[in-house]
Amino acid sequence: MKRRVVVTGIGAITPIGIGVKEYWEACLRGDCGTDDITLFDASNYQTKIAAEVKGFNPSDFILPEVYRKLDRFAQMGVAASKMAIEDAGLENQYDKQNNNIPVIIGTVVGGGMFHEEQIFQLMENKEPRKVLSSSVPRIAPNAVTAYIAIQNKFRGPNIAVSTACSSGGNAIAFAARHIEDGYSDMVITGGVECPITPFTYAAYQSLRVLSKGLLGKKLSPRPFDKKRDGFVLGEGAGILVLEELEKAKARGGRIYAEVVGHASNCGVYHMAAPDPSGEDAAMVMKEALTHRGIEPKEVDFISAHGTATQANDICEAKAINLVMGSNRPYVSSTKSQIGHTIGAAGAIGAIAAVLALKNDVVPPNINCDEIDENCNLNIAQNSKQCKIRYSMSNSFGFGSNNTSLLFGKL
Amino acid sequence: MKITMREDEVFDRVKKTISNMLQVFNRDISADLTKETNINADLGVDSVELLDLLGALEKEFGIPIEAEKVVGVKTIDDFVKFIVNAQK
Repeated sequence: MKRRVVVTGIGAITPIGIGVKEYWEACLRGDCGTDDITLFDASNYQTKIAAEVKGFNPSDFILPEVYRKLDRFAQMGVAASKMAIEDAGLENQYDKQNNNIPVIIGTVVGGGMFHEEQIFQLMENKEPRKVLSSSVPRIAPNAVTAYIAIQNKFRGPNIAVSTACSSGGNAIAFAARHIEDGYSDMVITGGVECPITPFTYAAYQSLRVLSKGLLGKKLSPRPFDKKRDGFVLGEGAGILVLEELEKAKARGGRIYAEVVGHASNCGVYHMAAPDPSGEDAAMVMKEALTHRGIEPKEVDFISAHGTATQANDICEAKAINLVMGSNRPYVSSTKSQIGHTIGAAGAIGAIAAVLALKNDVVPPNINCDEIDENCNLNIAQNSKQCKIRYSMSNSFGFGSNNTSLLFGKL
Repeated sequence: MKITMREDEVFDRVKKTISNMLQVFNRDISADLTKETNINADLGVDSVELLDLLGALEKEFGIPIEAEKVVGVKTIDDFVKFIVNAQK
């Protein structure tokens, strides 16, 4: 019998709120984090909207001599991990000299803003010697896992997971497995991303997946809506503390939810397009359910990947219906409010699933005025009080990279 | 004829360079820096940031500063003396 895994702490930095309480309140209010881009000059871009985190001040969480060495994404990751550790009441509850606590975080772009600034300067001045010595430590995706560990003395495996939009989901699945299989009793996990940079934004724009916000910036993105036109790039961090159940209970830790199931697969279809049959995504959801033998009819809420592209939403709807059959769980996508946060998406989506379960409230999928008939789902167009037995969180990344997480109450 | 800067001028420019580099303070901290300020113990400049600082000082003073030649340089006064000597 595998060991049981529970969520005992959460930290969140999102375009609609900094802090898990602030995020959840804004979520239920139906706030939209989309606005004009301020992080770079987007005046000659076709798309000029993004879901930026507003008012993030790293000095609220990190000492200056530390945060000045970090790019924005690592600052957010370290700050969110501090919130999660405090939320779990962990500060003095582990041996800082002797532990094997892993840090496993999903992230894709790493220190993108700094990276691009250095490249632009190099192209302009053609002087390699002027590239800053601190470039590599700032840009490296594992800067976030390293600094979380260094700041908190977590001495176990330190792993940055990069699987595109499913990075956060995969990190959590990997973290849960560490505990189930007895490698550690606690893991710091989640996802972080700050992809709103000149090149990264242009790259997604060139893929033609970004919403132009023609209906209005606060009306974008529109997951599962008939008039959806793509996603809004977002940034943020979602960090969770996972612990072995009996150890968490023994130390009196507050338990949000149990990680009842998790699964990852590769649909072997295409690097950028989802399999239109939805079968690979359906398979990963089924595997998450069979992890503990949960029936589809027991799932009451799905925190969908829901990017608001034509392709994803249709394929995801097919996949959900293949698995759920006659069951019609509520479905909503965090991306409707916080945009697509790439490596952080799976983690923040999981946080929404956990909070929904804990509070028996389904968060809204905003901007879905008319559900696309090709997305035959029970979309929660507003937040709803609802008894939730099990909640699921899906993320589907480039490369046919699929992950599904299942959460339940104790 | 090579013109060398006076030590007090070098001191002011070293302080300004350090303050500019430590951008997160969002203010000029030059006035808080003294000759005795230890760049590691007092300012948290680690081995990687030290390399960035050397690059900034090279640019400010137009002189090459090899990392091996500044082993043992710890305070702002150490940097000032190094730069004054490098000009001779």
